[in-house]
Amino acid sequence: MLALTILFILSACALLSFREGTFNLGIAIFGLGTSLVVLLAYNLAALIFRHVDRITLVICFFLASVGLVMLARLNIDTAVRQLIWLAGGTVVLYITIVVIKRANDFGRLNYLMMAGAFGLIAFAYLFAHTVGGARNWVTIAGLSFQPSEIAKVLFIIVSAYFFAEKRALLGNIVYACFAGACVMVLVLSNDLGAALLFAGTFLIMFFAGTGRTLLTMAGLGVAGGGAVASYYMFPHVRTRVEIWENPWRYHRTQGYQIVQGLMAIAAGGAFGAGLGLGYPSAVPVNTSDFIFAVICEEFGIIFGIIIILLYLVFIIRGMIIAMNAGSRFDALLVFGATCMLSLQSFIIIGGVIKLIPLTGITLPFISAGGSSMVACLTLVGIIEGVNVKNGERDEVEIRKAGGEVI
Amino acid sequence: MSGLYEATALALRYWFLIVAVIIVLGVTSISIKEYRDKRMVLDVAQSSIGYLAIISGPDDVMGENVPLLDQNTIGRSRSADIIFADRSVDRAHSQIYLSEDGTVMINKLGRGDVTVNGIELDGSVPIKNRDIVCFGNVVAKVFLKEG
Repeated sequence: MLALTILFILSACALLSFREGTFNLGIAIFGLGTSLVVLLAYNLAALIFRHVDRITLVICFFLASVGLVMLARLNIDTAVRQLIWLAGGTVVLYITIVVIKRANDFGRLNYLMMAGAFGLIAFAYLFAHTVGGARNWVTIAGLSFQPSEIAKVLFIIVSAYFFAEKRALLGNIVYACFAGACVMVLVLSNDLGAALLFAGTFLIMFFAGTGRTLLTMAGLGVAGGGAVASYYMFPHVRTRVEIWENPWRYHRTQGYQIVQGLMAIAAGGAFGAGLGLGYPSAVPVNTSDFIFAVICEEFGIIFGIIIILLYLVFIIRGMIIAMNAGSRFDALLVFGATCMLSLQSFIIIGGVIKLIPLTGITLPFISAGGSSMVACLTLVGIIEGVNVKNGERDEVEIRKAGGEVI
Repeated sequence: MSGLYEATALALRYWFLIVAVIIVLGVTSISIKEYRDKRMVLDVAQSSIGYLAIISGPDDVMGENVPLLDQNTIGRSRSADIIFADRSVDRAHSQIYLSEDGTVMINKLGRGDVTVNGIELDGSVPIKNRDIVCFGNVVAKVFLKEG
């Protein structure tokens, strides 16, 4: 599988390096570098941690390679930056595995993480500058990142802690306020994608953690009500929905993105226009939010469907790991991380293909964006960490029955 | 040159598609197979009460660890749970089982010798962790789970 991924990167980059008629050494070197990083990242993980879930790793590295190839075709500078982020994110992935393997739950640290997560989101609301309509970019010391990405990881850990066991009433109230406040502030700062993501993950984890159907339904109702209310309260929410209903009416103004995205997908057809032969520059934000449309244009819609299938396999693997987990906290942690990644890909792919109103968030593993890449790999680290824990427990079990683990 | 590039790019898109299809199929089939195998191994591991480490005997079991379940018949016949293909072992030679009070017992089924720590067996006796049992020429050390 990994060999195929490497072949994919190398052949795509070899093709791309001849795109302008002459041989472009930069892209060829980029292709070699990418292969090296992917090979190293995967094999080191398998070497350091015996029980790492290889399938999950292969899927996320393949998705990342597709993203990198596409970025190399669009803009080689962005691609190189993204490759560095991938390498950095992999280190974070290893660290997360070690931390999750050691930790049972984070106890009192949870309150600190809660404060941290809310602080980050609030900080973004107060100080961030606006990119593409949402106030979620913060620049510190020349490095710009999205605080909501880091808040995502903290949110999962805190939620898993509170749903794992019955906590004191006060703690639960604090937690409920925290979750509500996070979503509210995200809506206020016009980061609707992230707001939807937090609310959805909260509801799914609530259902998984408590198993109370009625309350979940009520929560769904509240979320729906909140969505309707924000439709009437905030003009920017209303515009989004109106554009979604009929993007062609606004095709020169706000609907431009969706219309161009749809046209790109249609232009690609079943097998795509061929790598380097499409017109991705016609699609706005083609390196992050709309990268799915660009991939569909050049690789074809079937390739796009396969990407969705890979996300599905990823989700199923996550669920299996969650069900094997030893403690409720671990199970919920993996469940939450899987849900967050799958919901995120659903929200943005759905937005691009006009299934749901478009809200700008990144496509996990594929889109350009440093903080997004690192956050996604941290979530994978959580999943892998619990899997390593499971594997070690099973190994002890098998040894007791006289078996060997190869 | 651009014509050549176009032709290559058009041809290569099928290659990219094939790679993606193989990866998705491979990932799915490996997942299913791995899940099944793991389930099976873990089911045996979880329901086992311990294992026999074969110290000497026929080549095919020499050095192996054989998991013990709640009830195991030991013998040369194919219907035995634990099979030792050795002339010194009867078709149905011995039985190791978990008794109702939670101790693990061993008894003799056939005419062949069964010894526990060198003492010839008559009827059924309990066995403990690290006992040495012999079935004919097959020698094994017993490892039991705690509890």
